[in-house]
Amino acid sequence: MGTKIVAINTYLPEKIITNQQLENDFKRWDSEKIEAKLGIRNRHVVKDDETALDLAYNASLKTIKEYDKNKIDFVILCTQSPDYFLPSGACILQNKLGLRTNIGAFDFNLGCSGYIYGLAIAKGLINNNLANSILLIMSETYSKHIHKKDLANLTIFGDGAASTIIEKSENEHILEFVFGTDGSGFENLIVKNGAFRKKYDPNAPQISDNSGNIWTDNNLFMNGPEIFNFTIEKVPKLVDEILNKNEMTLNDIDFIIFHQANKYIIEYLRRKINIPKEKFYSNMLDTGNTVSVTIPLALEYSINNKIIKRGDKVLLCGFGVGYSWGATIIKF
Amino acid sequence: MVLVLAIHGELQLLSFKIYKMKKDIFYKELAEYLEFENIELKEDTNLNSISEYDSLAQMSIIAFIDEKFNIKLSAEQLRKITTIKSLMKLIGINNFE
Repeated sequence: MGTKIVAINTYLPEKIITNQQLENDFKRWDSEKIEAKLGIRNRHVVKDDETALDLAYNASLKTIKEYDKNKIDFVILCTQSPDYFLPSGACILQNKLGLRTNIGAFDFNLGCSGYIYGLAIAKGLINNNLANSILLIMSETYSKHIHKKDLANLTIFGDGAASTIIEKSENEHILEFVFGTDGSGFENLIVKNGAFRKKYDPNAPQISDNSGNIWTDNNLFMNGPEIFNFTIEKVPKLVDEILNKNEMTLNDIDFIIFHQANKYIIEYLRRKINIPKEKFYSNMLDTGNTVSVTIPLALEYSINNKIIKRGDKVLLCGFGVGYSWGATIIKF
Repeated sequence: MVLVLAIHGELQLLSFKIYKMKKDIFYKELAEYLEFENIELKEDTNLNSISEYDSLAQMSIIAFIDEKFNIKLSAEQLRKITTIKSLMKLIGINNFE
């Protein structure tokens, strides 16, 4: 027995911010240069009254239109922009989606590595006979964390949600995993204020860097250079480790999807690891970096456009905030 | 499989590490990496005086130094870079000829 991904659906909020709008608003950005270097032209962002739970609900609605919702016996939501401290968003979704009540539901908090960990949890639950059909949802609205004058982060991040169904199957399609964690880098990608270590501070002083980006400790802070260093160091090793763990080489892999951090970073990693271009997914043009949603977005696109075909082995790699990283190989 | 991996590892080393770099080539290749238009880099060029020297350019510097010298520059070190010479000191003057 094993586990299998049987459905992936994504939902992006309607509101779009274009590079041109950012160029007009900030007067210090060349929209063409941004697109060329970061590979981003548009990003979807939520309206003030729209939340991660709304996006999660809309992505899940698409799924239960094509999948018998009474089969679902576990709901797992991954988000770092929850509607409430408590309860878990997954509990609210159970009711909103009209799912059975004799099922499990919980949230977990991870960023760019979230999808890998979600698949691992789902595989573990199913293979231990704790569930048969899992609704795994990634939903993120980093735009709510970002200061309105923080052009760097406004440029990179977009909002979105993805729902995946993982089912019990005859053969194992979700192969071995590798995980990694290094909390020593926690302050390099963080929202400091707002929980209980440091409360939200309406008078938090503004901080700026020499590029003119402005934020406060209430907002998302990203130390770009350190995050880039972390990925350069960890991701090549991660790819080696996941191939070794599955007793494969790059030649055995049909397609590779990294977390879509930005085009420059993942293209650099691709060259460093010697991954052929035709095997490598690189597309965040109209979404930006949607955190834990980038990998299922890429999977949905690649399956719909027949880039991933039945029987293909696809290597997935997530890395970021925490620091947290993980990888697995999926047989489609 | 071990052999394949070994060859793979070797290729990676070859393409991502050279031991000494001619200064002229360093200026030229760094300028190409940074994609500054009509700016020639020299030892005493102050990066902070170039308007295009932003966080994207810093990302390119990190990639360049990692690729050519296999050295990681911390955010703190990047912040302290002023002239091209100060960058070369961080990389290590003995990496140049």
